[in-house]
Amino acid sequence: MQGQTISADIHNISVLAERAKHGDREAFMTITNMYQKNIFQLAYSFFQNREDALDIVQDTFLRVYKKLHHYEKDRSFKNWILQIAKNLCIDRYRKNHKKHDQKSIGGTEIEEIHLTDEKGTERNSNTDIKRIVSKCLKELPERQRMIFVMKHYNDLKYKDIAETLGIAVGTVKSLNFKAVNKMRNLMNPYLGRQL
Amino acid sequence: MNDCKNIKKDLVAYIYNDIDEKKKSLIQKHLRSCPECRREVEELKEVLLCADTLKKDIEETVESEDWEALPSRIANHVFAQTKNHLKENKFKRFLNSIFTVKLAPVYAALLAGIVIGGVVTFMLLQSGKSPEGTSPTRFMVSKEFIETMDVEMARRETLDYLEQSKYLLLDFVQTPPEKAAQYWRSDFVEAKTSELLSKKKYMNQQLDKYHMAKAKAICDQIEMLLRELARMSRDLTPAEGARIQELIEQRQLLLKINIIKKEIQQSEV
Repeated sequence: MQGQTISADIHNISVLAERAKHGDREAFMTITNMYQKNIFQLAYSFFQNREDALDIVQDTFLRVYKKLHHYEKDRSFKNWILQIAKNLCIDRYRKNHKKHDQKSIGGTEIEEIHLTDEKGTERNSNTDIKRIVSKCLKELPERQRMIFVMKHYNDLKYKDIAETLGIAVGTVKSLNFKAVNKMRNLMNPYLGRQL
Repeated sequence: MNDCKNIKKDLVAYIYNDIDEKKKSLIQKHLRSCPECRREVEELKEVLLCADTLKKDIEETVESEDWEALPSRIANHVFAQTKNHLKENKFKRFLNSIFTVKLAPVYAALLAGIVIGGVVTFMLLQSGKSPEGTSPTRFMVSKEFIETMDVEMARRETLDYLEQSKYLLLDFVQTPPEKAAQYWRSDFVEAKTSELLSKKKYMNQQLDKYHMAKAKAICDQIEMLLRELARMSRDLTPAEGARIQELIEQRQLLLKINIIKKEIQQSEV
């Protein structure tokens, strides 16, 4: 792959985008190689599911290829590509996951884990915390959830998240605070025993 | 208290250290004097620490993928998809070029022409008239009309047959018996007899079809007589000739022919 594709450090992304737009497979593969991990990481942290994440990666690059002529050169290519991925994640989430999430996730399940602790089984295990975090994440409204995973698991700056979502930086901060705060409320019964 | 409310929404940004220096110093200053906000920060940190437990899983899953093979696989999928997409677009562009707004008046005029033409044709067909100044190239006739024509043709054929037979027999009747054989052997009479006999074959069907029973009966008699005379013509003796002449008169064949002819003429269409 290294031999086939061109190093992003050498070539400007605009040039690659221009070449890919005209059907240059090599340029397109270079772009894919540059951003595939970012998209996968975003989608995987959002869905917590590998198949969903891989589908999002493929669909994102398909859409990128079709929309390359809409790309504005003065804009961050990474943010543009992440915006496409984010839109696909939200679409997929609304289509397939919302009902499922509502059925399987709720306070009762978190409570069940808490009750297990009371009985004196293995307490504070890492696996339990992961399960709680995962479930709490899925409890968040889609926009808060997206912002939280962008910030916490993808290490994006608020400025970049704001550009990707097309909203003000202040709104992003506020929504992320709400997300963390909601997670705290959901996790409080469990955290209370740990503190 | 107001300070607490103002800085609260920035506390998560402060924990992430994704905040400008000015705000950061303000928060730090506030936290030194506000135990409640300090506790809030600790709780939020605790949540983020718990959230960190998923990070390792995410990193491991990311690293487990075959990232070298994926771009090629994606490119195959994308180029195959877009090839179909391009084909569809080409077809759409073709349709768009046909149904462009610029050509809308042309299509409107064509449509109007088709509608008006259709209405005019319909009205002309309804009224049964052809457009003025033009001569019709096709006739539309009803089945009844064709049948009437056929009946009329059959009548005329029968009349013609009876007329010719009458003159042939009349000449025979007026011929002296000793010249009877000579009469039937003459070329003209032989040809006429042959013509009438073959005509009768064709007429049989028509006479049956249009229920011309009387005409058929007389025509049958004439046919039998002519066939017999044609057969006997070479050996016809004067006595036989006289006998046949007598029979024609006795049976009033010529009179019957005239009566039938008249009946047919009266019922002529």
